[in-house]
Amino acid sequence: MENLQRIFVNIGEYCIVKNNNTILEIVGLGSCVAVILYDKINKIYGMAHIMLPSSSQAKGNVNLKKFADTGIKMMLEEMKKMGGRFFEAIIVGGACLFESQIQDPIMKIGERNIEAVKEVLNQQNISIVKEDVGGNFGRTVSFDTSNCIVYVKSQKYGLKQL
Amino acid sequence: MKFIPISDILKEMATVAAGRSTSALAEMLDLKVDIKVPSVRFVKFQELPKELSEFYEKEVIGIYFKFFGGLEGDMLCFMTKDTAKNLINILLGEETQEFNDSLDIIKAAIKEVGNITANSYINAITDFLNLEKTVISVPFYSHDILSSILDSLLCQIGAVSDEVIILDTSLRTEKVEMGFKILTFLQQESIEKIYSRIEKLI
Repeated sequence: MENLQRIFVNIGEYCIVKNNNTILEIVGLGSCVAVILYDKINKIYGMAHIMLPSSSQAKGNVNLKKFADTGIKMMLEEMKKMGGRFFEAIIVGGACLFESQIQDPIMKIGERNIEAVKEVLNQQNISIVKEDVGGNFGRTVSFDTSNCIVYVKSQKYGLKQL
Repeated sequence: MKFIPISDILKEMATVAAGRSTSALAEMLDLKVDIKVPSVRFVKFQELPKELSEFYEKEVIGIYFKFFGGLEGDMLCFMTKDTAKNLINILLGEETQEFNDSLDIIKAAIKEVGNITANSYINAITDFLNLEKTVISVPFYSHDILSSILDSLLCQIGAVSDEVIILDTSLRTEKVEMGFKILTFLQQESIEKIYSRIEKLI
């Protein structure tokens, strides 16, 4: 993993590469969901850092890449234009880090993100081959494009390979 | 009155608020508490890792609040594990070497510190601007690396904006090494409200 170029995917953004010597990474995912899409045959790899379930929640002129419905589609369209056809997905994140005696529905944003991401991928007929979602802990996720392996690191469970 | 930059007004406001939090915390802990001059920054979400690089990948204890009414926004008080350990030792009269929050009483004590800090901070701003009452949510406890906590926090506020206004205040106590940071994320409407209120006051 040392010789590979490392690219950090910022919150509400996505990143696509067309080479297999890159690590796409998000440091510290909480309630956001990392959506990893790749086409091994055509060697196109992407990671989106999704913040919210639906662009219908948007108020005013905000970045549409952060919503599951618009963000995933935007990334997918771009990957298709670059020649991608046979997509698989891996999703990570969607945790709930804030705990309280009182259950507050606004704190379920992680769960809602996971649901929304799954729905969008389903609509696009992309199968989710692996996932590590939910829970009450943050994750740092690294996607090694040389072998399509995803590493997830957390305070709770240390480093693990998906 | 467009001559006074909004950032100066917010900074003055943050200083007053931090002062109030400091006295509340000092009283609770029976210690002298100092504040650094607060900073006020307009930050794009993407720039947060750089802005908070000192703590970004560190394990911290964070207490999160939402507030509504006169002012609307979100607030995060966070501290390192060492600070949390020192706080617990003072509050519960213990001498533990390592912070361990598997007991509810530990979490409750830390949340109470957050509660007192947050309430005095927000009430000070509300008083300063003579705004209608601001209601603060119950505290939400989190223990993880700061970037994961912020990632979750931004999901709460991301629908309306791509940037936040951060009032960043650090509290420090004498004798006992303690670092305590308060980040207040204000929504655009609140900023406008503050601005129009200031115009009326002058």
